[in-house]
Amino acid sequence: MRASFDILDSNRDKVSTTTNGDHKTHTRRKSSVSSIASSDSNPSKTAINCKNITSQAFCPRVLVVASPDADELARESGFDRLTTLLQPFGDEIIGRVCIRDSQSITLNCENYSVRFNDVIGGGLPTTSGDIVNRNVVLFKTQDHESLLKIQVEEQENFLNWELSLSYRNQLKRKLYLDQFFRRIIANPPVTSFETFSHPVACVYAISSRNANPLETLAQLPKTINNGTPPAEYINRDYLRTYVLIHHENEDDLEQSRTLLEKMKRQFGLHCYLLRIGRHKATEDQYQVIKQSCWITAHEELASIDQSNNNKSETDASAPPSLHNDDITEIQQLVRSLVTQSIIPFMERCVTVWNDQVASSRRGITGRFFSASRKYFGGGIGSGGSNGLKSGNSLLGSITNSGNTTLDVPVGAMATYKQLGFYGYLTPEATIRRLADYAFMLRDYKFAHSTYDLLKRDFLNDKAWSYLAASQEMAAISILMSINPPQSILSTKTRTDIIEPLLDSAIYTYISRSSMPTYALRCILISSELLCTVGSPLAASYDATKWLLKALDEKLVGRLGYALLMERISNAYGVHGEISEINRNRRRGTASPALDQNNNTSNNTNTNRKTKVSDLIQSTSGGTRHRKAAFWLLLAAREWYDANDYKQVQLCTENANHVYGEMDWTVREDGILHRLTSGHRTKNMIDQVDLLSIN
Amino acid sequence: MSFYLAIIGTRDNPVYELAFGTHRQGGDGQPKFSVQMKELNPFIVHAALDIVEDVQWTTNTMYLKVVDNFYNYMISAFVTAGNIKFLLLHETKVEDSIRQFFVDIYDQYIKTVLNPFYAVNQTISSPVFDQKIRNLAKKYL
Repeated sequence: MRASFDILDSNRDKVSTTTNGDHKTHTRRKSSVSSIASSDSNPSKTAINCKNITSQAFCPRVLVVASPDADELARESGFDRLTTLLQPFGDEIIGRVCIRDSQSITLNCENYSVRFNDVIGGGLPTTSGDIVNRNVVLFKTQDHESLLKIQVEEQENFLNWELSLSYRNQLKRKLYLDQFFRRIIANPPVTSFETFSHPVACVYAISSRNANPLETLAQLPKTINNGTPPAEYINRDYLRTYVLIHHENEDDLEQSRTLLEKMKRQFGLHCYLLRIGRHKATEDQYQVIKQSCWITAHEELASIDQSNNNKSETDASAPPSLHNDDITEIQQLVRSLVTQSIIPFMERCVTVWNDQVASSRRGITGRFFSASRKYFGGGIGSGGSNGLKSGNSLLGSITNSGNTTLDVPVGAMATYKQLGFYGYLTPEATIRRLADYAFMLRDYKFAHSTYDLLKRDFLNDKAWSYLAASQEMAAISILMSINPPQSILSTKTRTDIIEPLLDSAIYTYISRSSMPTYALRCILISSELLCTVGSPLAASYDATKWLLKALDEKLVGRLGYALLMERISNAYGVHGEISEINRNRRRGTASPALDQNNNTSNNTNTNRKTKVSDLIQSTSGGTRHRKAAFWLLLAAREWYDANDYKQVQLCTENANHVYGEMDWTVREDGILHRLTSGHRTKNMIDQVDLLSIN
Repeated sequence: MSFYLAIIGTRDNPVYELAFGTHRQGGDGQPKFSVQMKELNPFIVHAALDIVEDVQWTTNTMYLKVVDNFYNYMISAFVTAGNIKFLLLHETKVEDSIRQFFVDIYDQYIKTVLNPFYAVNQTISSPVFDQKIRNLAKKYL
């Protein structure tokens, strides 16, 4: 890494000698540039991590309904219930997952994930207007802040003066990614305006201990949500799968096999056999299963509390652990669930809904359709949705859930004006679900065009939360679809499409439907993604603008404030990194021509002009390292006010790549002096001059 | 209203700095920056250099208008032929008077450079220069 930057610097020297003839001599402080680049090797790495986290966060939800005996089995291994046993295995599916997108192109995903949970979201009080969705919170800001505080304090112990800067930066990055970013987007509550937390599939699980397995399985659907029907905006045509857990030590395998055959005959092909408890083995073959990394701040706090309580008493509960063989068995089960049942099901849903609902809206005729619907009331709309109903039942027969008769609840066809949400059979809800499925299947371009269809309907109905959510996802899906260096976000897309979308989404979240936590999620995801799209200005202009907006609107607590300031600094760092790459690329193609230009003096004037403009482009602009250092300094001030001196030290040390060589920065009335000297008197550990370290 | 003027050398070093207030609307010419702002001033101006280096290549004029802002404050810039940057931190947008202010400072700066005992990037400590800049500030801002 270092070597490549050195080469780059020597290149730059070469170029700058040629520019000396220009009337503005462009001096660049190359040492500071290279040191920032080499120490924090690439600022966009965190952003790319965020992109991966985002793609994993918006993944299919699987409802787990277990019989009491299956839960009992999980409890024997130290888990709370079967859901908690399965949850960690959904975080990352082992091996590749093949997904066919809307164009029938196969996509291989390395790190696909699903999320298991056991609540479906009960019926909310149905009131008219937007009241249902007002003040929905993604997470509790206090919980989030106090968890962050705990984690920061925990990390204090590791942030020692002696450790290398890059190691400490790594710790910090991990803190941001896992404790801040992931916690914010993990497990959104079940709401009507987005379907990511609605179940895509359902697992009915029984164990081989059950005396009447088939009857129990038939009864299990009634135990969902303790019998209360799910809210009317939740689609009930999710995929049903059945899992028989066979306990090797206690029960006969043959018997379980015949039972599985019976299940297949009665419930269809989506039946799986899970064989666990094969061995009575020694301790060392057991592995402790970590909690899923996708729990919310609230849950994490609860578990921290619990473990603290446990410590104070006796070490009562052993950490949940499983035998190695059982682990592979469960991994295999989850994998086949996903690859053989869930993904094909979702692909089919996407095709069916696209044909029956969305495709009629696309194109010019679709526009007419929605316009006429607007002016002539419900007549045409109901006609359109009749087709939809038949479409759903068609889907039902495909998925073998036809045996459970679908009784369509009253609210299923409810429009927004009647009840304040769209019932799950309305075209709007179906298109939204279609777009969400496409997003979960990582077909981002298709998802974007589908989200785009919804905008006008929601605007007409003044369904603000729906509007904001679909615009948010529209912007995010464009950003997700861009993978530099193959594709780069164009300036036109950035200013004409993404900016208005984000602007409207954030405004609507904050002002119209007062859901600031969602606004924060939108800002965080989009600003991180803007750092991954290979456009320097997207990072240094747009990303920082939205992050600043989050700061101005006070969407985060105190520590979050400091962390976001560091993100702004990082976004400026990304600007430098991307333009460095661009400059390299341009120089790689342009340099032979330049040499020629210098050697032969008989070039035409116009030719020279273009070459000079090339040259200016390749040398000027591009760095934002001063801005990056400045925002680190502001972040340091926030940490200072929060009395966290090790973080202050980390920030100022990073900023010293720029400030370290300048004597004006350490003046006594300057902020850097206050921060570093305050830290020195309070920490009492170092006599070393902070600035001479580098 | 308060202003902060910095003349920055070619190595990002401050050549001359002045914080002053307006004389208009009954102002007494004293800067009234808040405590948090005062310690940040040089850093804000330094950060704006990144933008200046981008903008200076896009225009033929030396006066670059407002290049950057920090909350309510704006930063106007002027780049001389010798790559010396004049930066002014201000609160209201008054392009014309700032441009004239910069042009007159440029005049003063050229006179300083003509001094055989002055080298580029050296700090300007002359009280005469200081007084002239203050007078210019009083005249235009």
